[in-house]
Amino acid sequence: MPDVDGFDEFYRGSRQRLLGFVYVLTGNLAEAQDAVQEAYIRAWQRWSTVSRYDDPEAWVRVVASRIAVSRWRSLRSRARAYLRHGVQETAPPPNTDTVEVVAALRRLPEEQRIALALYYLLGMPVAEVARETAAPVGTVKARLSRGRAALAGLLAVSDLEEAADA
Amino acid sequence: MRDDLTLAEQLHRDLLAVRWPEPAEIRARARRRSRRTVIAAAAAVLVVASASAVVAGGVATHRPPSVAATSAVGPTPGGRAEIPWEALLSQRDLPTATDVRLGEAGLSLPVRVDRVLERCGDERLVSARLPVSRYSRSQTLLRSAGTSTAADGRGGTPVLSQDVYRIDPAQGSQVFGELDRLLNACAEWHAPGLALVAGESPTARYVHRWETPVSGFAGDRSVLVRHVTLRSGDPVHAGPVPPVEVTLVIRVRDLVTVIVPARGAIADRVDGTGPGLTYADLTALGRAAAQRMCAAANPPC
Repeated sequence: MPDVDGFDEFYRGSRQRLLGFVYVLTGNLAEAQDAVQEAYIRAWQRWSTVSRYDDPEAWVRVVASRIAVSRWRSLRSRARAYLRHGVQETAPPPNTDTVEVVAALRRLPEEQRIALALYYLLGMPVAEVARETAAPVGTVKARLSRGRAALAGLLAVSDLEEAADA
Repeated sequence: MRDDLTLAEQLHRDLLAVRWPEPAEIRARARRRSRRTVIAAAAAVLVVASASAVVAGGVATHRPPSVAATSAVGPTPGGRAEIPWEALLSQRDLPTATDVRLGEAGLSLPVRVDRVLERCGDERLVSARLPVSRYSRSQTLLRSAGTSTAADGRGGTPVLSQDVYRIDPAQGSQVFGELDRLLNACAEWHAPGLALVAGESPTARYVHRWETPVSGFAGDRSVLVRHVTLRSGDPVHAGPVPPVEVTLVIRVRDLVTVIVPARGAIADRVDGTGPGLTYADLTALGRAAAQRMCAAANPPC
């Protein structure tokens, strides 16, 4: 018998964090919400396995981000978002500052965007970012450094020391 | 505490108003999905059986006439600009039923063929220089969900996506030239987690292979690109045989179309089995697409 309470608690506790992460990756709130919900559906379908992982949230995060950035993303998820949410988004649009940051992130290569989102949005250490993205630590540091440089002024950060030393 | 947390805080505040379905609804959707999968598998068996019966009975299937190959020519003064819906495949062209059509038009969008292949090209320093289109139109054809979910307006299964681009005729051969260059550089590519396989570790590595088993089947130039994704490493953990991904690229004068059937909608699997569209179906679909583009091309054919 699947652990209903465990899943429900996991869903309620992690969904907001996950939505923010996917929104930063996609720049579209409705699509991000759709990808996140889809990821939780898949998680529940194999919850007996996923719940035993060391970090089930990492699994759902990777699934949601892959759904969001896959080659079908632009039309298929838009179609699903349309079918599920209609033409109206289910939340008010983010404020101008957020939109500006997300738009700037969207101009970065995907690897940099993911590294920045994991590090700055979810607070992961560099080593953990490296593990989750299957990249060497040095590569992650370089991605963070380049990403921060590209976003200078928008994220109100003044130096790159923290990423380099992490 | 990092000063960058302002982004996290800002996002958290912005997203607080998002309405979420209850956990029970998520679980219910998962259950419905599982039930549909079982029903779809049973239906697929019936479709294959019916198709076999038709072939055995010698019934001719309708196929649109092929488009004669022509050389690319320059745009005519006052030529066609926007791409009309009629230039795209219609639901009637597909042997698979679809009942929802979604799409959009674009201006100055780059031609995209296969993003994974392009990523491989980037990594191998042979980045694709695909042309930027003047106009484009895209569509996704979907099959709506069964009665149980149609009632609440949710669900729907993508069957096929199609992009049609109008490019500078002088760049007509560039699409295929760049594609050839990418395919030569990326016959095989090892990469982390670009494909999702149920139950796999999120950090699994995959082997991507591309080949072009069929070409020259429609329009001025055409090619069918077959993309196989396999998990690298121990075959014991390889899991279910994943479907291959197929992309059709066809040029008719100043129009180029990229057609991508949904994963799992084609008969080809890594092991050569499975229900869905056959390569004969796909090349016939390519000819139908070329025929539809003809009337919108400069000059028309």
